[in-house]
Amino acid sequence: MDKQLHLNTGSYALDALDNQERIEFEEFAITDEQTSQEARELTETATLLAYGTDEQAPPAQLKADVMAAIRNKRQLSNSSTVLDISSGKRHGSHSSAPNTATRSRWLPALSAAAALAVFAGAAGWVVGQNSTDTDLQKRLVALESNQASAAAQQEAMLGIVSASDAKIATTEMSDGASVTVASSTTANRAAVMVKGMPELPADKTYELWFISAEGAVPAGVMPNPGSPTPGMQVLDGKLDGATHVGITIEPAGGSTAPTTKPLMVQAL
Amino acid sequence: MRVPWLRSVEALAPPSQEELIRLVASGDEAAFEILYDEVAPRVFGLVRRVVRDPAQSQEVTQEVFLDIWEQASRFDPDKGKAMSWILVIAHRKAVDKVRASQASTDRDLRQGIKEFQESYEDVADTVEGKFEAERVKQALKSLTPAQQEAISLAYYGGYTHQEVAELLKVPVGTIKTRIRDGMIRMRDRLGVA
Repeated sequence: MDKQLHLNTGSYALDALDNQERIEFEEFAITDEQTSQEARELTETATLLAYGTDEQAPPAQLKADVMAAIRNKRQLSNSSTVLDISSGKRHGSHSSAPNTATRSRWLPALSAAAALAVFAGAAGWVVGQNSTDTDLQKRLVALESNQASAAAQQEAMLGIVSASDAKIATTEMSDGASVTVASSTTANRAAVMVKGMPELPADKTYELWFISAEGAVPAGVMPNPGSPTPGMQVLDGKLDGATHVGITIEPAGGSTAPTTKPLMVQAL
Repeated sequence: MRVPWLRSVEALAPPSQEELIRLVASGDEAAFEILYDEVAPRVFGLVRRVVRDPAQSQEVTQEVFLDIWEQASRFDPDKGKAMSWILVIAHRKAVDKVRASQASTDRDLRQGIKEFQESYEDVADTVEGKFEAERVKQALKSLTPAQQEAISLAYYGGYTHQEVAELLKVPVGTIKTRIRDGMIRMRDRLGVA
């Protein structure tokens, strides 16, 4: 490990990494149980340092301003806690595997940054309107033609992009990778195009998920990206009311439920 | 069917911060106000320490509380205390502000050393009487001076480990290790696991 990223747990906990370093670290940490555990514990420790400062009452006006501001501020709904899919209850069952509990405790450490990242991504949504449909379609077909794969995929893809309610959004990741999600409620399908995603070790794979308040449903594993050309993939299964699409890193072959924090979650 | 007397007993116990956040998540402004009153001095104290400028500190504190309001549904009490969640948000926003204004005013790194020395005095002086503060003080004392210095500059000064390395004229790898070893020692001292 060239960069010795596991040594950054302390700096991470103190918010002493710059943005680029923080993202690199988080991406590494979600693949490494020991590092994520240590980062979580040190973050909790770091919050105790706050008690080493004097309490100080803010001016009364600040409270008035805050109370006034929240009246105009929309809250995130409960169903948007999709980052937490690693502990998502599926069909009301409480029989989640015990080791996912440890993993999910990682979240508070990440929540502020991860939440920002997810919502920055969601803000990039462009709703497919008539004027942009053609562009969208061209773009998707062009991207898709890079893969001479199954006609069925092509058909599903066209089904998505030609639907009147087609939506497309691109999330740019900080490392230059980008993920574009296209979906249509009418077609009841979704597809992703990824570009520049880092290659994973042979024992890991990217896995796609349909996510709703019910939890995450597996939507297929992605071929390990070996080329810088965009890869297109129609998600396995139907949209069926899913509100988000996510990508996690899983052991080769994929998992039946996510075991890591999503790299990306895109609202539909 | 709930027994009426049970409800009144419940009403007597003040809600925990975790419960308050759950209520806030459902849009309860009264719960938010109680939470604000409970945690604002701690949040503002931390933000002031890191950001220093009073007007900017108020701005950051307001952003912190708007975040709490907006993201309350993301808080999960199984995964940590409400106060930790709030302080992580507060510290990160404070640091972001310091680094953003640093870009425009070119914060003098040398100033950092002086600030650290002053702020460390503060820690020793102001923690009396408070349980958590006392524990933190003891835990900090258990570190080597070099570890204390690196951790304080990073956490209270808002400096990146790269900047801390420049301030102290040592390689960043050394600072990383000082910070990590120090934080691990604090963790073990404070029994965080």
